[in-house]
Amino acid sequence: MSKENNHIDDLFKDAFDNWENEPQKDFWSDIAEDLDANDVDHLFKTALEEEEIMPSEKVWEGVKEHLPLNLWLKRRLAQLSYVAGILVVGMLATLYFTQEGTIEAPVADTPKYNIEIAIEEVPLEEIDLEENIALEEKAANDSKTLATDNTIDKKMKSVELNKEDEMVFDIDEEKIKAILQPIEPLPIDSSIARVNGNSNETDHENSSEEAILPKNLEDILPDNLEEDFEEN
Amino acid sequence: MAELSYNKSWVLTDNVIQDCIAGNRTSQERLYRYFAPRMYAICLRYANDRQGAEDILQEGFIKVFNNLDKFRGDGSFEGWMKRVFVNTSIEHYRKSVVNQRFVDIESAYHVSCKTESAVEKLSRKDLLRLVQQLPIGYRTVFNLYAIEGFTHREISAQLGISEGTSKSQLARARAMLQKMLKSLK
Repeated sequence: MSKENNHIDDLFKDAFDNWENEPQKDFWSDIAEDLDANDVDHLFKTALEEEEIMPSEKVWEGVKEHLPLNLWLKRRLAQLSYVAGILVVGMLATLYFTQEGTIEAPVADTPKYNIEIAIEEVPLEEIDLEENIALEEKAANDSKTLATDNTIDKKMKSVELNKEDEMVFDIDEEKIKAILQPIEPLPIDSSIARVNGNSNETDHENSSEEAILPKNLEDILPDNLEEDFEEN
Repeated sequence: MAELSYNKSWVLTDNVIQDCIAGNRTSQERLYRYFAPRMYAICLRYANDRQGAEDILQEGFIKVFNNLDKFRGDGSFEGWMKRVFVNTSIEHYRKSVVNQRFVDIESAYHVSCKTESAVEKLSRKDLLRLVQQLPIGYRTVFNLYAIEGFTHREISAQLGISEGTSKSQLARARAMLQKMLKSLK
C-alpha cells in the first residue's frame, strides 16, 4: 500500500517539478493598474485630507440665524410639549369614551295639537250668495294686504298660543256671525198648504214664518223626513 | 460684536462645548471659526462648486450646534464633526441623484501612467478641482473610499447601492482621475 502511494507522489512530483506556464497577457497590466490606482488614492488622500480652506463670511451669518439659545432648555421644552400633547390626547380620548352612549340628542319638547275643524253644513238655499261674494272679496283684499306686509309678527297675528297652549283664533266675530246665520225654516210648499184647505190664506211670506204641518200629513210623510228637516 | 479671527492656537475644551450647549454666542462663534476651514475642505470634495460646498457647510454646522449635547466624548470631537459633515454631504448627494442615475461609461479606462510626475506639478487646489470634475456618483464613492476610509459595504449601505456598484464606481473614478492627470502632464 505504501509503495503504491509513493508511486503516485512521485508521479505528480515529476509532472509538476519543472512545470512552467506563461501568465495571461493582461495579468501584469492589471497589477500595474492596481498599483496606479493605489497611487491615485494615496495622492488625493495626502493632498486633501488635511486641507483647510476658509469659507466666506455669509456661511456664519446663515448659521447664526439657526443657532439655538440653550440646548438644555430646548430639549426640556420639547419633552414637556411631548408629554403635554400625550396628556391632552389621553384626556380627550377619556372624555370621548366615557360620555359615549350617555349623551342623548336633545329632543324639542313641543306641544302637540289636535286641531279639529267642525264644518257646519249649510243648505244651499240658506246661503246668501251676494253676501258671500262680498265677504270673499273682502277676504281676498285682506290676504293681499297681508301678503304685502313683510313683517313676520303681523303674519302671525291671526294665530297665537296662550300660556295653556291653547289655540286662540283672532277672527272677526261679526264675520263669523254673518256666515253662520240662524237657520230659517224652509218655506212650505204651496201644494202642502192646499192640502190643509186654506189656500187663500197661505202665501209664501206667511208660510215661511209660521209653517205648521197638518197632523194628518205626518202619517203620509216618511219617518226620517222630519229628522232630516230638523238637521237641515 | 467684533468678528472673531481664526486662531489655530485656540484649544477646544469641554467647557467650550458646554458653553455652546448653554447658548453662549461667543463660544459658538469660536467653535465655528476653529473648525470651519477643515470642514469646508471636506464639503468642497463632495460638492460640485463653492456654492454647493457652502450650503453643505452651513447645514452641517447647524446640525452640529443643534446636536452638541449628543456628543458623548467617546472619540475625538473633530472626528464626530467630520462624520456629521460627511453624512450631510451624503444627504446632498442623495437629493441630487434622486432622478439621476450613475454615469455609465461603457469602456473602462485602462490608463497606465506615472502619477508622481503629476504630483510634483499639481497643487492641492488643482487636485481638488479634478475631484470636483468627477461625476457625483464617482466623486462620492471615491471620497468615501479613498479619503474617508469607508469600506465598500459601508459605502453601499450609506448610498443605498450594491457593493458591486460601489466597486465599479470607484474603479471608474480612479480611471478618470488617471486620465485627467495624464492630460495635465
